[in-house]
Amino acid sequence: MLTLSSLHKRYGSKTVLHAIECRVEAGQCFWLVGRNGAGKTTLINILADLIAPDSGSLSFGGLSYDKDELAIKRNLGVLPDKNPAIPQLTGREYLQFIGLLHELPPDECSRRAQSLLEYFFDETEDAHKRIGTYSHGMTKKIGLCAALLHRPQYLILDEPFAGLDPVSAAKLVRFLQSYLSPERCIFLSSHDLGYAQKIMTHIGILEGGVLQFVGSAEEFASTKDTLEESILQILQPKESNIQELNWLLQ
Amino acid sequence: MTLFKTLGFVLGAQMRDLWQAKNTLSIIGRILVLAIALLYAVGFGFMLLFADRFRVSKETMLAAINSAIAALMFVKNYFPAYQATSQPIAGFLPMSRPQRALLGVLVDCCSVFPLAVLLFYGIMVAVAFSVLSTAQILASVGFFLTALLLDRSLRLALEYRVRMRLLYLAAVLVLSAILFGHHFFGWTKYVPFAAIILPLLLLSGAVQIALAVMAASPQIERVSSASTRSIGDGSAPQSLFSLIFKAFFGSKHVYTLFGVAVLLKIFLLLYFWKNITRIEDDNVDRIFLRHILWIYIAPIAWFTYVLNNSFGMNWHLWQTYHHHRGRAALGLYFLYTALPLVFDGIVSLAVLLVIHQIHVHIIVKWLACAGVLVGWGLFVAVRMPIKVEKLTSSVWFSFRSVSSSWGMIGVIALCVIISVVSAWSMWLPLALLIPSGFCIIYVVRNYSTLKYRLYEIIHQT
Repeated sequence: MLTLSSLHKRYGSKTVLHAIECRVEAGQCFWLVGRNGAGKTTLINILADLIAPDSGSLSFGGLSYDKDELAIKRNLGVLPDKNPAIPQLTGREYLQFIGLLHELPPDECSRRAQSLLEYFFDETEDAHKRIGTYSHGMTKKIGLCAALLHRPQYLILDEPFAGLDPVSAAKLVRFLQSYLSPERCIFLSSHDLGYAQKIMTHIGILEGGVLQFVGSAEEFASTKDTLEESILQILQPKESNIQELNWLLQ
Repeated sequence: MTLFKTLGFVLGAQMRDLWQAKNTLSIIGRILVLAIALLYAVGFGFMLLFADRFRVSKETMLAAINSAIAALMFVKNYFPAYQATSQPIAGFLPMSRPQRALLGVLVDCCSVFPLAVLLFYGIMVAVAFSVLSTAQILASVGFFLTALLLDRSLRLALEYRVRMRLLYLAAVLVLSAILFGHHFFGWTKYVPFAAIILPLLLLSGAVQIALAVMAASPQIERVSSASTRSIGDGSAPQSLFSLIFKAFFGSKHVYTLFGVAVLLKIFLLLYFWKNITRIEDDNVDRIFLRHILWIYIAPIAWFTYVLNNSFGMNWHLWQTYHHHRGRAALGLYFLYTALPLVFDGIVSLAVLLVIHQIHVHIIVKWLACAGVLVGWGLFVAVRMPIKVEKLTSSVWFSFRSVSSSWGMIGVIALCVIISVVSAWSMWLPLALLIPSGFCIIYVVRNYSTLKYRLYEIIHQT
């Protein structure tokens, strides 16, 4: 359904992504995990057509951005790392704006916006405040509502739990579990092991621009005792000698 | 259809945002701005109507008005803070790349400022309708539209790593030079005004379309606001001064504005020199030289961003330094004040030497202005800071002010006061250094209170 083959991306002399190969089928939630700077956001930005790969191909159900840009984007919901929510608009106005771009009928857009706001926001009056006055978590929530408004088939989320309070994060987990269906897939990048573990069906571990592991949750779970240990085993963190910090610890 | 609906939504939201005033004072301020613009439009209309009484040809006057308006637009987009081009639609939303590019151009061209200028032209033309030909009216509007497109092209070429970037930058600069210079180089004696403007408009449109389409493509990366240049491996010991210097000039906003400020200053000085030498013995011109030219020599442009806004652009640097060194942050302020002022002094002196206009009264005014701006700038930077986050959030609505109004009002008042007091004595402007000194003493004495207020302002805005 979502296929990435031989994706390469360089920034100047630095290779950020190297020969990325993976396939996310309908009904799957693919969790991308890796260290800071491993290339996760670059990969998400390529999926969202915010940047282009240097080589390789990307297809959404057989469609590519080169030929079927609009057809893909009508079925794509994205919550990027840098949420492009417009600070001068209220939350409700912003959703109206997104609905307009997706050519949703105004009544339908309004109904959908209302139910999304009621689910994700504790106080629906917040939807009448300007986004510029929102906290980090609220901005994230309005970005989520905007990504979901048109019922996308492909949902791409970059750090959706960052900045959310535990109640909102739990709501999001419950929502994403229900959202997965045989027609949809989710591509998720997150450092929150606890939340991501509850949703993911498949996992990809990105290290140094290369996908070191791609497989199902079951395959991955069989490699080690806990998820954290398994991930650390693959990432192989550099041995840090805490003795070097004696000047600070004593 | 979606394109026009989206454009309507964006422009509507822009209008609502413009009139969403924080308080009565800001509404009064906006009404005053409109009233002044109306007054200018009517005034210029009458000046055109009675151009012969000013011993200036209608064409020269029209060219000066067009140039002033276009220069104002350039200045507005760079000072007091750089305003990026609008890209209202994120790349992953369902709108084709050409449509997204076109929407960006339309949002910038139909924003409040260009529409206000077109209204300005409308009023001016209505007053002077009987003396202006249709070609002159259309060419004036064409002049403004060309400047609008060139300004957006310049910003796109600065903001994106487009293909053949240097070539596009050179093309924009050459077209701008022809646009602003054609009348004053005397080309209009041989070629009709409209025959110069129309090709310029078409060429500027072509450059703008090429750049806008490239900027909407995912192949083209945006130039990051922070410099990506390597500043060493950090292992070699460096002085605090050099680290702060690198952090300060590592900001794209700061070094872009530095470059534009230098070019703008040299351009304005040369522009006025061209006119001064033309009627050198005229009394009116001597008055002009004494009371107006010095404003272009004065380090005002430096004030508007270096003293006022650069602290916002380097808010994290300023805050970090302030947290660790407390009152020593004032030293940092003076350091960054001194550096651009010295640089400005060198540029100004060099230009004055070239145009043979070194006069003691101009140097005295420069010193008075620089001295006052140090105090006033310190006061404004501490009391009314502008932070970079606010600059970036204002990208979508380009009309939204990012300057401190009081800071700007202070600068205008300063220019008027210096001009007026110098009529009594050439040395009198130096007396203004006394209130400037009081500003500095006030800030130093109240620093512990002011720093908390500063923190509050930054986090409220």
